[in-house]
Amino acid sequence: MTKKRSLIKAAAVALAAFSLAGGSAPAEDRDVVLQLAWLPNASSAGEIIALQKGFFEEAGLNVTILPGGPSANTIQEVLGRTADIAVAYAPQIMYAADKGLPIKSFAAAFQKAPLTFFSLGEKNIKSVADWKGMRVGANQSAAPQIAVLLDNAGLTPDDITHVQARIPALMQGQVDVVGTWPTNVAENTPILEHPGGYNSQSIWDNGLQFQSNYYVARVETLQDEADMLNAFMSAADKGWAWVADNQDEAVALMVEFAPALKPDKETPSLAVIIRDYVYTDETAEAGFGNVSRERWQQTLDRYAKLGEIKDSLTADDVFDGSVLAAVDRTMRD
Amino acid sequence: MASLLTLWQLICAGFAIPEYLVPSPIRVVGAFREDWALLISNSVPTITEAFFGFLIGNAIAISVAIWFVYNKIFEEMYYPVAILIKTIPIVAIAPVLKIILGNGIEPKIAVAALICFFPTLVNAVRGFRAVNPNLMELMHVLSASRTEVFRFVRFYGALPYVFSAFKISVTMCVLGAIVGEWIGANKGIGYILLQSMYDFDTPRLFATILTASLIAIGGFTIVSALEKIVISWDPGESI
Repeated sequence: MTKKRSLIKAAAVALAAFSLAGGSAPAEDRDVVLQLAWLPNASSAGEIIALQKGFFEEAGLNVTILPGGPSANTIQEVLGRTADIAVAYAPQIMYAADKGLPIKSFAAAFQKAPLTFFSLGEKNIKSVADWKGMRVGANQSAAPQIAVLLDNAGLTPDDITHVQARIPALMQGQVDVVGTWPTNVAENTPILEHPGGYNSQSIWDNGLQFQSNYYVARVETLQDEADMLNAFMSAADKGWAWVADNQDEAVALMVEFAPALKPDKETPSLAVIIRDYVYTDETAEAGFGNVSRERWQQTLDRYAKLGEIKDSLTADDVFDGSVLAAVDRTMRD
Repeated sequence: MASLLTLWQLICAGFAIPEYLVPSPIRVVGAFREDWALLISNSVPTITEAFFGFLIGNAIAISVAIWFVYNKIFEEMYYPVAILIKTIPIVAIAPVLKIILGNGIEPKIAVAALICFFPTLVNAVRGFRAVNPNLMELMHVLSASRTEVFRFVRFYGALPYVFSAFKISVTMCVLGAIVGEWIGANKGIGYILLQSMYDFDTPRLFATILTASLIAIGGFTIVSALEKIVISWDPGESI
């Protein structure tokens, strides 16, 4: 009997202690689920570090990071309330807006979309106009981007053969041009080290200037939970700034988060991402995560011209500037 | 086996096959040695998902099979649904399951269970029906109830069929768990496969593929051993 009573007492004490410990500091922490666009790697370094270094926690957020992957539809995750914030690519956001789905972007971690088309030096492909009659390897989802580039160069999609292919196909001569992200340095090594050199055409330099790794939330979240989004933005900014200053340490922390990552592959990728994509001349003036309304409008117009989306969409349908306006962000290039 | 590996090594070396296409066996062994801890720790979630998927998928399949055997109308009504479930492309349904079931282990278990369901259902229905008519007559003479007929005749008659189905589904549920992990996971064999694939880390990719096979072979061995224990008679006679 006494034993039982003391057990109950002990349990009560433990419970009280637990509720005290649990109740004091993190009581106000808001649970936030962040859905990444891709598998955790260098392109989500800032968000992973903000979690690992406790920047989200300092901002009063209890963030869970969900990995993406080839078949993840991050916007659907946000709409389905599995996630509060998602990292998404510009085309996905435009298609969602075209369908009238209630999501908007509120910042962009990448100032430039990285998609670039590489070809081996021997092919002598110096511009998109040289793609005529070539086999272009890229994901199915890149078809509209390819169509815009071709249109800008006076060609049509019928002038090329679009194949679903990646770098090995290029190296084996199965395709002539292949689309990839220059940020994946390890993946691109066979091209970069090709004895005959290589040529490249990025979508950015060929008339399609949208940004990438946009942060996306439901419209109602943007309206009702501005504080949470502002806190998230501020912590993500801090995360990326810390990554930029401590790249090697950041890679080590990322490997802790995602053990399949290899430091020797992520380090060069991270350097490229920080140098060319996250911090540019524009972030030096407007701060981290800056989104250009004009670029959004131009991209929407370009996609509408192709018939991919309706032509009545404006930048306000895909972008909400309130978070960027409310949060002081790191200015650096 | 050794000769095949030697041939593979010789082809890789002789034709100077670039590693981003096919790694040599020596490199694969190297990847095993380097990443064994990673592979083992990531096998745990995959095995867990496959195991629960196997249990749930087969439990449902056997329950439905019993139901079908005793209700011809239900069988006619729902067998097409079972076929429909089987024919749904698993890679297409996986992202949907993730949205419905969330981000934990549940959608992965669901995919594994879905894959296990059909082979067991088909085999179990067949097994429960494959009863020796003489035995049925005997049970009739003994005025056995339906429950008794099931317990003493149908159940044993179905066991060899069900175990054949288990052998199929135990290897497939590992595949299901991996497909489930492809839709978003940061642990598991599926995750390592994807990461290695996109890093062009072919030695580790091959090592991971072999690990997945080893898990499936392990499952198969366990089911075969169980089969030997459970079916102690010669099933050729009872059918």
